Amino acid sequence: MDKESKLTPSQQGYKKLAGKHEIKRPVLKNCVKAFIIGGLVCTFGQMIQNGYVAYFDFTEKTAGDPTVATLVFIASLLTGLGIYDRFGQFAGAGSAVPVTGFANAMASAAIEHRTEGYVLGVGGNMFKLAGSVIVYGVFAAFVIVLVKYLFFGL
Amino acid sequence: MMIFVNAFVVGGIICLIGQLLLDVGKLTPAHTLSTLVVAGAVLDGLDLYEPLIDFAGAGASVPITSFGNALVHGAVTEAQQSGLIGILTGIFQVTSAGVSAAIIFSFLAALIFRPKG
Amino acid sequence: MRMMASILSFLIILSTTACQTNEDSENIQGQSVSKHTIISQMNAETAEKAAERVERVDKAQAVSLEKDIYIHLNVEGFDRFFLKEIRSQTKKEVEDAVKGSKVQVSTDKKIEMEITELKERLKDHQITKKKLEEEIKKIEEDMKA
Repeated sequence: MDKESKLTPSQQGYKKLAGKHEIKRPVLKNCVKAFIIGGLVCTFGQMIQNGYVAYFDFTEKTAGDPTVATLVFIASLLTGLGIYDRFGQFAGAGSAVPVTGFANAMASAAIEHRTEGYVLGVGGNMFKLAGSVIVYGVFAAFVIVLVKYLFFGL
Repeated sequence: MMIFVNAFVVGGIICLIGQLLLDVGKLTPAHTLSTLVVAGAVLDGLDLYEPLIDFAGAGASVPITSFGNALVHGAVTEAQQSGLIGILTGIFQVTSAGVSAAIIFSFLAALIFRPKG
Repeated sequence: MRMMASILSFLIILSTTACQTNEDSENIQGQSVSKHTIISQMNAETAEKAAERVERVDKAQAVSLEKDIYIHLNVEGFDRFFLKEIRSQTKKEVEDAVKGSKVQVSTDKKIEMEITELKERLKDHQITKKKLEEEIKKIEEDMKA
């Protein structure tokens, strides 16, 4: 609210006007879609994990890796075929939050920048969105484990 | 059977939180995902994420939050064995499969597919 | 005369060795695995009962090799948030019930599959002690992984 008081009266007036014409987001509808689609993606992941435990030599713990790899593969494939983007528009966070969304972000950036060359285009742009995720994840993990190590004896 | 219901509900809730961050919090997708990853890391620091995985299976291990959990987990395991340097050597140990797969399959997709629209 | 005696004794020896190989092949065919001793699973059964006494454990399956016990627990519902605690609680219960035992507890679905299969084979006495040791070693490795 401090931000708003720093604006001049005409700027505040403009903000009010712009707000009236802003597309209202159907929050409830989006939330329901995200919940259902996100739930379905995770359920699908559970089926894959169960499959690896039942039919291959994996325990529940070690089946996590092939499950994630499989989901990443499927997401990259669907991204390449152009199907994932339609799915993403409908499902919002339901498709972006699971690890499939991470894979889609990387694959679609890689495909999109292919025309700029494989080194600069594909290689240089692959981590457009994924980069933030990895940077903040790693740094957060570093701080958390450091604190645990120094103050709580791990 | 119950494991599928738990996976559906918990996975759905985590995605729901993501949607709220997008719509109500007005965060960009990058901000949203980064927030969720950090949340996963914090929860594992408090030893709360593993029980969630025990309860919900893929419902907790598929969303991006589990990435944060895996980063902390790897670092903790290595730090327990090798001391402080373990934090650096261990961070990517558990997540190696996911990140490597994403890079490899994304590159393959760029080789095979053409950009659309 | 001597020739006859030696030929006869040779034939007798030959026939007895022949009979012996027959007996062996019968065993190999698995008709009655009486050569393979019945391996006692008493410790496993005691362990299962002790584990099922723990409140949040729904079902327990165990196999044992002398004093080594490998047990899987079935936990359902919201109790699954406390798996780590339940595992250590059950381990203590089983160690109390079977004195001097070395207990390893798991809640992993794969371990459940392996222990259940092993129990079936033990019940039908379709397994040798050596094979049991091998299978148990695999279960132990999977539990540690």
